[in-house]
Amino acid sequence: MMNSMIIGKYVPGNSVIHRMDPRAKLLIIFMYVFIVFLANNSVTYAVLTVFTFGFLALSRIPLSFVIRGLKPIIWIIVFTFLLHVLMTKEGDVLYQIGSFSIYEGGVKQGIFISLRFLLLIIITTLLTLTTTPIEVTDGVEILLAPLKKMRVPVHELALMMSISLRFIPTLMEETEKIMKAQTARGVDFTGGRFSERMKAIVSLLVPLFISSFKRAEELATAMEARGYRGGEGRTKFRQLVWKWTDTAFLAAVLLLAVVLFVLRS
Amino acid sequence: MDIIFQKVEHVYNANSPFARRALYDVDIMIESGSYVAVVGHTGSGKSTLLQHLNGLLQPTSGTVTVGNQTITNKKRQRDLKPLRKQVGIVFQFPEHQLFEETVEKDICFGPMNFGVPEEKAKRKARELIKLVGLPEDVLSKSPFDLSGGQMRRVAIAGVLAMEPDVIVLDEPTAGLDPRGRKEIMEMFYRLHREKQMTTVLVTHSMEDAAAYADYMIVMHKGTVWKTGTPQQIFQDSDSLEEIGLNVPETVRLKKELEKKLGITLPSPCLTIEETVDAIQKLFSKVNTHDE
Amino acid sequence: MTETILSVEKLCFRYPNQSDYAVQNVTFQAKRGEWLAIVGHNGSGKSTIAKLLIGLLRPESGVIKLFHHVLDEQTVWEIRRRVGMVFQNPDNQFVGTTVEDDVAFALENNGVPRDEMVKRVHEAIRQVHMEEFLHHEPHHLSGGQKQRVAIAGILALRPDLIILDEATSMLDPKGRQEVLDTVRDLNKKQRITVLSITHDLEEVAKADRVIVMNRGEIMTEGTPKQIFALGTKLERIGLDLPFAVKIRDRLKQCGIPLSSSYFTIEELVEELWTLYSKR
Repeated sequence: MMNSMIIGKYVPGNSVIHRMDPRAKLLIIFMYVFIVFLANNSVTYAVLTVFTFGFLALSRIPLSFVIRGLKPIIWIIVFTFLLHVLMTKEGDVLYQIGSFSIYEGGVKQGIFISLRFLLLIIITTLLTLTTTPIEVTDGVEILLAPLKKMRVPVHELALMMSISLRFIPTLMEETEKIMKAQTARGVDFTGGRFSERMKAIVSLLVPLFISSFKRAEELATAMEARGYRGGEGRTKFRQLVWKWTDTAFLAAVLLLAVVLFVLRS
Repeated sequence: MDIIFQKVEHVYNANSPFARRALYDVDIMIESGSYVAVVGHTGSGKSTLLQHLNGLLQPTSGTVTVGNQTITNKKRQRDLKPLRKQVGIVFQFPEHQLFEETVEKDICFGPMNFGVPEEKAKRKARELIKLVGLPEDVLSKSPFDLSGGQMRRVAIAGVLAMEPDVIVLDEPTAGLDPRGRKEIMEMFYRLHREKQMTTVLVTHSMEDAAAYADYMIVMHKGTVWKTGTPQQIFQDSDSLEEIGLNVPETVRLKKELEKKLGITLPSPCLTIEETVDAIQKLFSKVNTHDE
Repeated sequence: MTETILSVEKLCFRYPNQSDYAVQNVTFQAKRGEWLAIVGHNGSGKSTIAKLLIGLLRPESGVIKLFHHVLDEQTVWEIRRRVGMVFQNPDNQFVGTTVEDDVAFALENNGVPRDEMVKRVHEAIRQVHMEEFLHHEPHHLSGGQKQRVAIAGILALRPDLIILDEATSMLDPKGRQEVLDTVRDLNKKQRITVLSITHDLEEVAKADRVIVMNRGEIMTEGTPKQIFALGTKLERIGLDLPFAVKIRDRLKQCGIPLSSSYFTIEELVEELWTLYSKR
């Protein structure tokens, strides 16, 4: 049950977006964060929206998946929208109740800001939906490689990330097992008084911590036995291949930036 | 307290793309006071079946009756708590469930969850620590300072402390050395005989099933493949092998011997003692013929 | 004459803050291509020996020589490249996110160039018959499959010695069989020396030579036949006897004149038949 929650994030596929180099995807997202702020009128927002949905279409990910990903933050978007509608006092008055007036500029501003937010989230969701976590890790490791000169332990961080990813399902399984064992001993994880709940959580967390420490220790021993001694002199099995399509996509995003810059008011 | 399964089916993640049917068409009866062995491959549905015995899992359809309680998919989890006191489960590697600062507290944890007063639980803990073969001074130690085998015994004591009517054992000796294995199995068998405790043993070891159980349930691909006494089950060793299960070595020896000597041994020959006895009789018979 | 690839001399070790020795005065050798089993009850010091052999623990005294190199700080990495170890828990030695990543791990650590690495990874995975599972994640594998991946990870380094540290004790019968078959195959076909630390009788019976440990010391050493002839002596130190031996010893006590030189059911039946037909 819990397994499907986490793994459900990545949607396997073979679209152009799926096959893109994770480095290209990460760079595009990085650029996109700035590009969204270039849009400031109806035309630029329209261009941006079309572009984003174009990406979405290329990924062949069903819209329903993206919408499901948006659910948790939909209230933040609605809130942002309302905030702008009520606070901005520009343009004609569209509607008036008592001392409250809603201005045309407010509605416009509300739509723009919410849209900016929404598009940003769609693009980032698209990354997690089309890229396996380990690819993201590989991409981050290579992109951050220059930071090694500044003594940032990039290799170690990436290794930690990939080991965590590998152990998430194992720990989920373990959690479920311990919960079952304690439930069989009369623990109620669903309700009860505050003190009972605390006890229930302790009876789950202590065994989980202990087994995780044991795992970590055994894993460290196994890694050492297999000749691991840090990033020095290490070669890599996983390889990222930069293709012409990656360059093309990057160029398209740059072009988008230029177009928006020209069209913005 | 009899346990009856009627048309039990269990589907994990029902109504989702990940739906997987782990159990279907299960009709079994576990009689009060019996020792039942559940055998089958990994993935045969054994562990799903076992979790229905105390309502950790509820059937997707069908009913499980334990004593006077009926479990269906409509029952609320909270109403199943009394059942958990009656049916204790020793999970695989039960030492992973230890968490308290002292062994005594950990053993008392189960009974106190079911409202047993602290004093009484402590008395029970003292009694049980001896039963599982540990010295009394272990009670004040941290469970995490003990060896793996000792931790296993403490965890078992923690389940027994709830004074269940039925004890369910899921591979209780996995990872132990031969002596530890034997001691634990003998202890449960003694409990079964002395206190008439209904015992359900889930195991890969056909030797243990043959030596201790009076009834067997063979699981295969999510449903009951065959039930019967060990003697009935092991009689047809060929079809057992077809589903990838072995017969105990006692049965193998008996078969080989019968084939080679062209005779039939009368007794079931499930335990080592029975086998030795049968072979000895065979030779003494030959002796008297000679004289 | 076959080459001695491992020699251990008067090895002693104590864990920190312990007065008793976990390993005391242990001396033994292993020859190339041999299958050597070390048996003993839990806590007899057998797993400690394994850790000492690849420098995960440091002996208090004594000398370990692998391939004629004395194990020390300079040689330890070279030795780890030539000695592979499979641990007990299949989960806690799986480092990679997929089967092929895990098999590549030790190669990455040793700086093997990528082209060579890809070749060796695939070759090793083929040897343990896991080709179909190349891109599988560990939580979709059975315990036996994970242990086979661990073996592939070792094979990729082309080792001279494989140490199985209770590698089958957490597996179900099917998984245990898979792993033993795989190792047996490598031992026979590629003459890889195997040191198996175990209390699984089948592993012991398959060995060329057995060392019995009791409380940190070597109690005795011999072929499986010689060891199993010890009978109740083994049971007294917490070990088991093969089924045929148990039956044989009990029958002998009842006055049936059986020999003591075998440990399989087939041999027992054979002897009983001889006796039976003589009468």
